[in-house]
Parts: sequence; structure tokens; C-alpha cells
Amino acid sequence: MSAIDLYATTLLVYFGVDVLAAWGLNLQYGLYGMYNFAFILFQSVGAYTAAVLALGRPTHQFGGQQYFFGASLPFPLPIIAAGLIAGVFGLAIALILRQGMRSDYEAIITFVIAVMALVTVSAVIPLFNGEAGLALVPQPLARTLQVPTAAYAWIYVAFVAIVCLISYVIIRRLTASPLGRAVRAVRENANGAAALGVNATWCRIVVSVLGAAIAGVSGALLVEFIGTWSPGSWSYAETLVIFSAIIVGGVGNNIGVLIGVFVTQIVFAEGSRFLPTSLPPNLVGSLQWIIIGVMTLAFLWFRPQGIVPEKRYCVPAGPADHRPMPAEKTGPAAVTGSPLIPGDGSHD
Amino acid sequence: MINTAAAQGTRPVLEVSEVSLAFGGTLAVNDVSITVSPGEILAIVGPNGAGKSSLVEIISGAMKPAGGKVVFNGVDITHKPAYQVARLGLTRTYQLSTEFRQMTVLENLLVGVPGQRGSKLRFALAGRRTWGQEEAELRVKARALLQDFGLADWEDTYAGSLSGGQRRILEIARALMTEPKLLVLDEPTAGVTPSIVAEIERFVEDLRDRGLTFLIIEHELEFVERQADRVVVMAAGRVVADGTMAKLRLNPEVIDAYLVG
Repeated sequence: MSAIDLYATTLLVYFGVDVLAAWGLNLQYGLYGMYNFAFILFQSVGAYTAAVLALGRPTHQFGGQQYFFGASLPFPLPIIAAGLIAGVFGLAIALILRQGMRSDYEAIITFVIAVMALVTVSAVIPLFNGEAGLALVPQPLARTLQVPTAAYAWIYVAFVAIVCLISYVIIRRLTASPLGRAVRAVRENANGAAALGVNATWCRIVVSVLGAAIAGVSGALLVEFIGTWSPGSWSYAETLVIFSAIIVGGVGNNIGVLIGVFVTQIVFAEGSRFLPTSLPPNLVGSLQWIIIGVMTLAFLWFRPQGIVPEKRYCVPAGPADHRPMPAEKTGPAAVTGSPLIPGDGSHD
Repeated sequence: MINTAAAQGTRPVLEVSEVSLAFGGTLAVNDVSITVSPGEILAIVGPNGAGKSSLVEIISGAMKPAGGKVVFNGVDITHKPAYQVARLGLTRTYQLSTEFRQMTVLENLLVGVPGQRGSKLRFALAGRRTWGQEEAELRVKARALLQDFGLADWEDTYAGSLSGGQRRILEIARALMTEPKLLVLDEPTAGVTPSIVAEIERFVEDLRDRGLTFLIIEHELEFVERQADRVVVMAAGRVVADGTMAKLRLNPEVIDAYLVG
């Protein structure tokens, strides 16, 4: 595989994976307003799940890695399982963050959960091989396809693109539906939404589970491409990068978020590789973080709605949508024959 | 205490029996009982801290009482969450408007349709073809309400951009989308101009003519006198009087508690 193929396919897979994760977080944060600083945990759960379900039994593996369970499930079962297990973690987070909890408490609690999870996985080696992490995760269908490495990498890019497309359709359907509207209503005013019959707890569970499942799949796609996963891959700071992509792209807008990922992860993160070599070597890596941080602050100050703001729901009225007003009556009783008043109909 | 429903031989829409609510040892609501009859406009008045809004919180399911019972249309709703109470047909507005700021005026109304097809996960994920027709019908209803409430020209405007008075009217219009059997208005005239108060009065009258039952928490006594069939006076968490406004103006206990000045 040429260097260009390697660079381009790796970049595109990372881009697709980051877009999936950002869409998942956008469901939780953009659509619902959940301050989940443990979001990277879902991606990690997906990655570890897919890894142990593809690696086989630990005793049979080269390198003496220690990990919990272990199986050799065929493609695409490890990826599907990753989404499901991450979804279970999403459910747990939704239940831990109780309805009506202050957003600063949400942020603190999820941050603590992220740190606890990272410390636990790093310290308990039999779980996922501790700090060293898991390696040699087999690439799906690599033996079946029997194609050159470069061709395989491009096929994998196409597969990631398909998963992104399917995820987009699912997210788009949810956000454009009355359920998505109810979720946004909870974000805007939970008490007001409850007074109109919206079950805010269910809304939180839906976005948390779906967002986590998508992030889990993103982790599975990444680990099955790069073949390794360790605590270094999912520090809590990674969640901040995804938040940055959402803020830059446009909170609540999935196309905006895609652009935000492109800007933060591709343009600026990759662009920093071309910084002058005269700079101190340690500074170049840190500059990626500094640039992303400054860019996030700049957007919060000067364009908090992001590059592509959340879409405004406007449906042009058809001829039947506006009735002529009776000249003698202007109050709500003019809703002649409308089932808006009790006794005329029921919503149950 | 007058029990209008019992006097008329009809079942009350709302029966609140001996409810209490404490905040840190202080009884905000102390053994309060009220009933609201079908088609009635019941107003609750009282000085600040009388426990009026806390009582609304209990009735609407936003807070759980320490004791007592709330029955709505024969259903015990004492321990039901607010969204379930709303789905039964008891809808409330808030003292401070709770409009969904970054949603259009039309969307604000469309939220108020519990049980619609597209709000179920399986239909939402199945796509617009499974709920689009119902949504179109609901838009017609919502637009009719917006026109009646004078908000038709603002349907695509974010609710957060409306004036305070328009937001108050939007909140009432939004509540009507739930097809309430009892509408609880928490200080509907607070902080709005006299012209908006007049509009709100007109809406209340029109809706009452169509049979809607109201429970109104209000400070503006002239509004109460014009609109309410019956008035409950609260002070220090307790009901101190219950009757018509004319009768209450002669009650020394009420004068002491509230009407002085």
C-alpha cells in the first residue's frame, strides 16, 4: 500500500468514525441538552466489545494479551454487539442523570464516571489488558475478500461511509419526527414540555441509548481498522474534541456537525502537521489542542450557533391551512367544529 | 365551604382533599381541600407566599404532596407524574412563560399533542410516511388556533423572539392543543399590558362559553371579579374563604388576609 493510500484511507476512516461519534453526541447534547462528558466511554465500550468478540479466546492469542471473555464472532456481529452494549451503557447514563438535574451536576457526574472508567480499565489488567490495551484485532473479512491491502483499505472506507449514511438516515428520521420535536421541547423547557404531556425521561433514554449505540459502532469500526485500542485512545479530553466539533459545526444540525468534524479534525488537526519544524517538537502536538480550544472559544464568543445553525421548522401553509376568520368573532370560540375544546374529542 | 359540584349533583372535575406540602419544615400548603365543577371558572387568590402556586404544582403533578389526595375526573392523580396528568386532560400554564424559545411558534403548538403517532419511537424511525398525514392535520388545527389567538403572522418565528404578552398568549394556545378538560392558568395576567389582559379575558370567556373548565391563580382582583364564578382565598398555606367575590369582600378574615389596601 502506498503512503498516499495509507494516509488517505486512515484519514477517511477516522473522519467517518469521528462524524458518527459527533452525531451520537449531537443527539444527546444538541437535540436534548444533555451535558455528557463521559461520551467517549460509549465509543470505547464499542471498541473493546468488538475487539474481544473478534480476537477469540485469550489463551489462543499471540502476545499473551489478557482480556475478559473473548470470542471469534464473524463479521458483522462484533460491530452490532458493540452498538448494543454501548446502548446499554447509554441507558445506564440516562438513568443516572435524573430528570430535572442541573446541567452542571450532569457535567460533573459524567466527568467523574469517565475518569473512574478510565482508571478502572487501566488498573484491572484482566479486563482489557490494562494500560497496554488490546492489539492484533483482526480486520473483518480480510481473509474472505483476498484483496491487496490498499484495496481492502478503500473497501473499508466505503463500508464506513455506508454505516455513516445509515446512521444519518436514522438520526434524521428521529430528529425530524414529532418525537424529535418533543426531545427539543424538553431541551428548551422540561417543565413546559411535561405540562403538555411529554415524557422527558423517555426522551432522555431514547437519545442517550441511540447516541451511545452510534458511538459504540464508531468505536468498533475504528478498532477493526487500526487493530488496537488502549486507555490512551479514550481519555476524557477526547469528549471535549467532539464537543468542539459540534460547537464549531452547529449544535443540533447534523450537516453542520459533519462540517465541524471536518474543520476540527481534518483541517486544523491535520494542518498542524505542516507547522514549521523549528518549533519545539512537544509543542507541535500540543498545538493541535490549543488550536481546537481557541477555535471553540472563538465560536462560542462570535458565532455560538456554529457554521450551520440548527434548522428552523417551517412548513408553508397549503390552501386548507388558513380558514377565513368569521367577521363577528375573533376569539378561540371561532374554531368552529374544532376538536380543541373538551367534550369534542380526546387524545387518549 | 361551598361545594358547587355537590350542590349541582354533578361529579367535580377536580377534587383536592386535605393536601399538604412542606418545604424544609414550613408548610407551604396546609390541609387544603377544593373542588372544581364542570364548566366552572374557579379562581384562587391570596397574598404572596399563600401557597397558591405550590397547590398548582401539586395538582399538575409537578410536586408530590406530603399528604392528601388529588382526583381528576374520577382518577387519582396524586402520585402521577406531570406528563401523565397532562395526558389525562389537566393542562397548566406557568407564572413565568415556558415557551420553547428556539422552536417556532407553530412547533410550540405541535408539541402539545400527546399520543400523536410520530412521537412513538417505532413510527419516528419508520419515517414521515407513517406520521406525515396526521402531522398535516395537526398543522391545520394549530394554524387555526394561531389565527384565533392572533399569532398567525408569527408561526415561523422563534417563540423566544415574541413579546412577553405574545408569549403568554402562546402558552394558552399551546395548552389548548392538548384538548384539556381542565385548564389551570397560573397568574395569566402577571407582567402583561392591559390590552393583553383584555385579550386573555376574551379568550377565557370564549372558551368558558364552549364548556372548558378553568382553575385560575390570579392577583388581579378586577380580572377575578369579572371572570370567576367562585373564588377561593388562601393565606399562609390554608384556605381561609370560599365563595363569590362579592361575598368575600364582606368577609373580615379575607379582608385581613388579602383585601386590605
